[in-house]
Amino acid sequence: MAQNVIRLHGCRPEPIAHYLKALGIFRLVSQQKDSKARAFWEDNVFCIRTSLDKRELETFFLEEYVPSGIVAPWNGGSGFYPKDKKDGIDSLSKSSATRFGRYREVIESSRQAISALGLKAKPEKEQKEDMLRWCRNNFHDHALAWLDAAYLLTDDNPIYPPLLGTGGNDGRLEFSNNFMLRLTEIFDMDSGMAKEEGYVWLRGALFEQHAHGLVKRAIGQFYPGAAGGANATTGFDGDAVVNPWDFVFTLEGAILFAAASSRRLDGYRQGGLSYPFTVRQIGAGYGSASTSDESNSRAEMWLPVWSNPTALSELEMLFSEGRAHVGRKRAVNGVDFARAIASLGVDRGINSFYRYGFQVRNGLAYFATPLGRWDVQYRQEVDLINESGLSSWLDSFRRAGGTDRAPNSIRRALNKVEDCIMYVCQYGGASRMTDLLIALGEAEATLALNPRFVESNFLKPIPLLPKGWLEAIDDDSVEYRLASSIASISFRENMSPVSVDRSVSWLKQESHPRVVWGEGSLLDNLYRVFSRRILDWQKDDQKGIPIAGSIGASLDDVNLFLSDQVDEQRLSDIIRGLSLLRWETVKKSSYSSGNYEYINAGYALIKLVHLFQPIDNASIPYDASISKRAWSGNFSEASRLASRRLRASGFVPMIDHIHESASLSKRIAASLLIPLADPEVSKLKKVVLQSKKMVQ
Amino acid sequence: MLSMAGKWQFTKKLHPIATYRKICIDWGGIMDDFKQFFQKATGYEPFPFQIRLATSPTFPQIINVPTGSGKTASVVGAWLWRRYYGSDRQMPRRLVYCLPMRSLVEQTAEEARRILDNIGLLADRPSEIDRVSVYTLMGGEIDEDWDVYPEATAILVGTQDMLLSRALNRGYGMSRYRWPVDFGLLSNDVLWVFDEVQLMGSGLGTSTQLQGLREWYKTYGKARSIWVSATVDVSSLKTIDSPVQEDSLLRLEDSDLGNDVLRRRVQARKPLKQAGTEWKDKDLEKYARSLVEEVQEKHIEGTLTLVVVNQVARAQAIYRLLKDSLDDDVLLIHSRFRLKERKEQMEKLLAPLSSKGRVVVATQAIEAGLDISATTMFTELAPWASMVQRFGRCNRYGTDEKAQVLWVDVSSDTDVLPYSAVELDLSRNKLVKMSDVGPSELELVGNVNSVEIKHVLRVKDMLDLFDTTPDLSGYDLDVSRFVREAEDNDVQVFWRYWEGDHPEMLRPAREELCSVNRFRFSQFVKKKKVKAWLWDGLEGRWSMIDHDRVHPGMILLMSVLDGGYSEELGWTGEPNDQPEMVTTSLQTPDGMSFDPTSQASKYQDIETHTREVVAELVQLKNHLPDDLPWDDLLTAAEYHDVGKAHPAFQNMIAGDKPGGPYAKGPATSNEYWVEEDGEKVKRKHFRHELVSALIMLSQGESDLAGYLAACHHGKVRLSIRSLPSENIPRDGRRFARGIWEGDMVPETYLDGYAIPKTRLSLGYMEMGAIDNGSGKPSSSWLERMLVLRDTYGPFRLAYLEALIRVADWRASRKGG
Repeated sequence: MAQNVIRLHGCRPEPIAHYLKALGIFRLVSQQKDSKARAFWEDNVFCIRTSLDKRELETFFLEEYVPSGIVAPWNGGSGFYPKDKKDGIDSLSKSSATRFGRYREVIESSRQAISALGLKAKPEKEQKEDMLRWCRNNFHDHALAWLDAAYLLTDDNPIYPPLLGTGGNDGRLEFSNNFMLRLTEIFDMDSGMAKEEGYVWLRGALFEQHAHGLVKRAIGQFYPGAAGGANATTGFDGDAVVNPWDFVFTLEGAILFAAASSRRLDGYRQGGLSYPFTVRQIGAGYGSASTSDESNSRAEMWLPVWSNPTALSELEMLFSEGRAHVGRKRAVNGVDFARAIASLGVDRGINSFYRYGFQVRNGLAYFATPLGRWDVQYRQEVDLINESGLSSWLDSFRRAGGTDRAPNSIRRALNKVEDCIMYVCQYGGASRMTDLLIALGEAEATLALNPRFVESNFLKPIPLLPKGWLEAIDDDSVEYRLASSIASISFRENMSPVSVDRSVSWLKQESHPRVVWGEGSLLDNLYRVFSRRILDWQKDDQKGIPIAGSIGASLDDVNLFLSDQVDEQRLSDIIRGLSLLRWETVKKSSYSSGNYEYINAGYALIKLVHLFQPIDNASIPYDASISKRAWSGNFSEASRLASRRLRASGFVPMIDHIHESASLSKRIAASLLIPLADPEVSKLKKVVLQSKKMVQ
Repeated sequence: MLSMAGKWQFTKKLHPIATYRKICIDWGGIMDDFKQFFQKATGYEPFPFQIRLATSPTFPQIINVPTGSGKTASVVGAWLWRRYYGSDRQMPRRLVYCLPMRSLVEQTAEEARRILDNIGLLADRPSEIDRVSVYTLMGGEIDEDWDVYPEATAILVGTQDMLLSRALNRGYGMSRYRWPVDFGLLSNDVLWVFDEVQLMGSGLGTSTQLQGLREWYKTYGKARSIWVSATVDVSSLKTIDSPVQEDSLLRLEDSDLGNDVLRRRVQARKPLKQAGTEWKDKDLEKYARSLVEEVQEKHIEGTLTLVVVNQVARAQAIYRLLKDSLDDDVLLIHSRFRLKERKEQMEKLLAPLSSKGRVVVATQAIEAGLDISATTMFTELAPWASMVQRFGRCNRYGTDEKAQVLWVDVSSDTDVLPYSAVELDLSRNKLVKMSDVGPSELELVGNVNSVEIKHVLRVKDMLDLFDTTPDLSGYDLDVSRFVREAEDNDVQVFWRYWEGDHPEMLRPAREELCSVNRFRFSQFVKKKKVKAWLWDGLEGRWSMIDHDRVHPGMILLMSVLDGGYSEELGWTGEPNDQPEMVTTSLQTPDGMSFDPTSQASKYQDIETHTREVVAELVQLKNHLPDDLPWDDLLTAAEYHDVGKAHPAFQNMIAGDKPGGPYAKGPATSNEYWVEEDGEKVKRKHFRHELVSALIMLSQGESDLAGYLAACHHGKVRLSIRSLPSENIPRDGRRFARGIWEGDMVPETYLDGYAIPKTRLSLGYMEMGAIDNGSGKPSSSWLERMLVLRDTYGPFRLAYLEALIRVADWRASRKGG
């Protein structure tokens, strides 16, 4: 049979109503007309490959389409109770047209339920639960998918997927009753044939051909653009302008999200939501994101877009499971979902996802707001986020920091981390990873300032991060290079009240004299760390080297630092982030200078007496006053002392003392912390020492 | 009647079934034949209804006969007769006897064995397929190997939990990868018997739905069900897809009442009086003392006295006093015991009586159809349905002249839990008007009850359950709502001893678990300041839980030192009661990448192993019906291990050993790996059966054959997905289960013919149709498998899966 590809220009991934409409149309064609039909997305337009041509497709909907039995006898306003609007349901019940036969069956079943449960008005609480159960146990098979899309019965109480409001009820809009009304607008109830305008509207719904005489009706959460409200339209009553077919197809499409048993019976035990492709909302990863979006919203959905022609059976499986895993864990929130996408934790063949948030922005009605598109692409850097230690720390951070009880500073820190994760997942790259690492470093600093919160929530410090981070954030900037050299000294214990051994734990003491990195400029912090480490080294009988780093810096970069050409804030941030690494596993390496020959002689002089290792087999005892003088701005004195120190060790400095400005003097003192590569040390010698060692 | 004694000389050696059948057919008068058969099998002459069950042209769906009229013998006898000697050769091969409580299982299995032994048909071992094996399946005690001989006639007796979970493809207490085998065998060629259905709860609805769905989807060989109960309203069997016809019913007729034995049972006298003691004022001590005095006074030496009360605490108090004042045999039975102690009590309960007799103090836990008959019964007032069940435990056979029932009033203004005052009032109103509660009296006041079915299993659910792809998070889908009524408010507690602050241990075995009311447990933790531990699946360890976070259904660990349990009394909530730990053997869990059947002591090449598996399958074919897709099965058997020729497997199993390719052997490495650009690249989670299936698809074999090869370890079924910890190819190729797009599998010989060198394509794992290199789009694996599922239906497809796996197991046993 000839296969046509019908492009449905009225069906696009945004808004959500149009996405659902696409699914609805395909589901109906496949189930009721052409079981071999396949569907796919191309250039953001939904396409159906079918034996039908355009005209036959239209004819099918106008003449043959059998609407799904969408009823909700558990809802007030559903048409089954005395106070309800009954126009739709009455017309359907009275109609003798064959195409509404299934509908009548389901209406009849609902009435049986009402009488079996002895209801006189809409059921409340336990009665409602009994009603939901009765329907699930006794409705016709063809009506079950609707039920499974509208609610789930757990052992405790019924729960409702946000896509269909609360069991097919979205504030004041009762979906099932509206669905019936829309059908009466499209079809002549006696003959079962479409009305004249039903045909016009259909072409509008399918192919985006201009539709005259749209009806003012509420469409609810699916189409915020079309929904009314103050300032939404130029009309005076603010009612939405809706194509009745759009509403019909939208609900027909939502049915595809009928949760599979694996979802229904299990999801809620895992702390997530039990609905396909639905996770808890995180206020991160989109332009106007803020943590306030979390408390006001219920959930977000990630809707897949695929390009391989796919049969309905497979889509049913896809949509009923809604698989998204981060490692072994099911994605429970938006950040998890983004991580799942970037680590291939979703089904193969999906090209991208459209993310929607369901938020309260309009009274009771929940609105599906588009939050952007995410392409499915494996990003190796995301493996670093998904690595088990960090991953479970992130979970515990979210559990503790994502509640209203958490201090604002912590919520902001969490939000920043999650924002950064989202961007890494979406775009990847070293600079995004750097942002994330910085955010992690800040998060730990924030936690350290909130010890009581940390303790009551059993929050641990961030686990030691694998060395892969070093490569992942390498953007070849001077800040990166200097930060990695400085951080390679591995002085996390000077930054946070933690003890670092095989793992990291919070220090239990009240005061933490070792933690010196804090407020103040980068220079302050570098110098404090330098002094503190030397103090500890002296206490420890001068064992080892107090400021040894595994990555030696180049003199070129040190020069940039000394000449104030480095973004110090960023450098400071990256150092903090990099302090989280497990440095013992990083191999020794170094950066080398280019042909740049200039070396600040004052720096050379002072640095040479702070290497804490012998030069040409001559050891140079440490003299605390040198760095102190430099830090206080008295460089001539500092350099004089340094020269004397070198001479005492048998070297012949070419300079006795140098005058430098107070600010450079401070800067040089701070730079003493930067580890240098061995070849660079030799260059220093060349600059300030006579070639030969003085004979004793 | 002619004495047949001479002809019924059966010995196991001389009478295989064929001869036996021939002898029977030679005789005229099928009813007389059945009588002889039944007499021989059970030692009793059959009741008229038992003859009808075995010989009437139709087989009923519902059996409604009073307790104590020999239900097991009726069913087993009728099934054997019909299957082997009667006219109903369509009688299914497997008889599955499903019981709501484990205490009934052994009793029933024992009886079935006795019957088979009496007629020389009891198999000595499972492999003796021309006789009948009897297996039991209950928590903690599952007979292995029942599923290895699908061609054999067999009887399975088990608990509702074990059997229904298997019938839902989610068998409790077994490897998840074996689920489809048990599911397949329990859905095809099977006669299900549901006994004591009034106790089945939601499981009853599942049983009727499953039967309906099997009939709808079709099965290989018949699948039938019968429901047995004296006290259930037939309307409870009418779920939406239920095939039950209300008139397909076997019940007592006039002719049955003409039978002395049966008439005695039906007309048993059970005089009823109100006891002097009454439960009021909540004064436990006073109540217990008064009741114990009365019990001692009424207890008749050499007989059984049963005291049934509504609450565990009362049962414990009464038991303690009785134990102190009587040196007779005194037993305590309630549901707040660990399985270990429950088993021990059951043994004591069924042991012969001493000259002094025995007093059993029990809660409603004893209501189910245990085959015990008390002479004297004390029972607290309970809802009418419970009372009817309790009365059934007194003078069951109608032969006890001294039988007496004393009911103890429960004042409506006291603690009536677990019942409601309204239920008790209704019941009391009936009792005060009665002076006898024998079956015929009860029938006059109405003894039929309906069972509330909360969750009905629908077609959609069954299709979902067919897929066994594991949730990576390690949570198994919970089918308990379809298996039985959840013990609404209970937690499961077990006690262990450990050193140090933190318990590090495996999960509990069923023997260790004790049901405890959630509220009482949480009060225990709070008031006695003891610690309870809950398994944290994400962290993979036990963590302490606050008393207010204890929810129903949780499995909680306690330290033996914190007490709360006494082996003698069960759950007490007293810290001084410190139980002994139950020692159990723990199974090694099966994992996604575990491949135990490939490990063998000596090497066997793929060709040889293939030949053996095909031979086993042919053996099955010889005993099973022809309407199975044998061609696809045989193709699957031929190809099933061809994937082992993949270098990753050969490197693991054989290293650089010459010869091969090998299917089995003592593995040289515990890792799958291949060499790429001179480097050893790990292929974690490698599955050879997926390779086999991919080769089959590229060879143009049928989807069914491909599926059957893929599923032969239960680890690759409906979908092909990669696992989280797999090695990821750097060049972005597709990968799944240790297979990378473009892997080459060398030419391999299978039973004489060659499978050419094949380049593997994993395009099948993507959704939708894509080009796999053939130049035209080809459907995905999932789509193909869904078509198979819908064409064959879940039941038949699982059955075919079972056959291919059985053939592989058997060949592996012989070969390895």
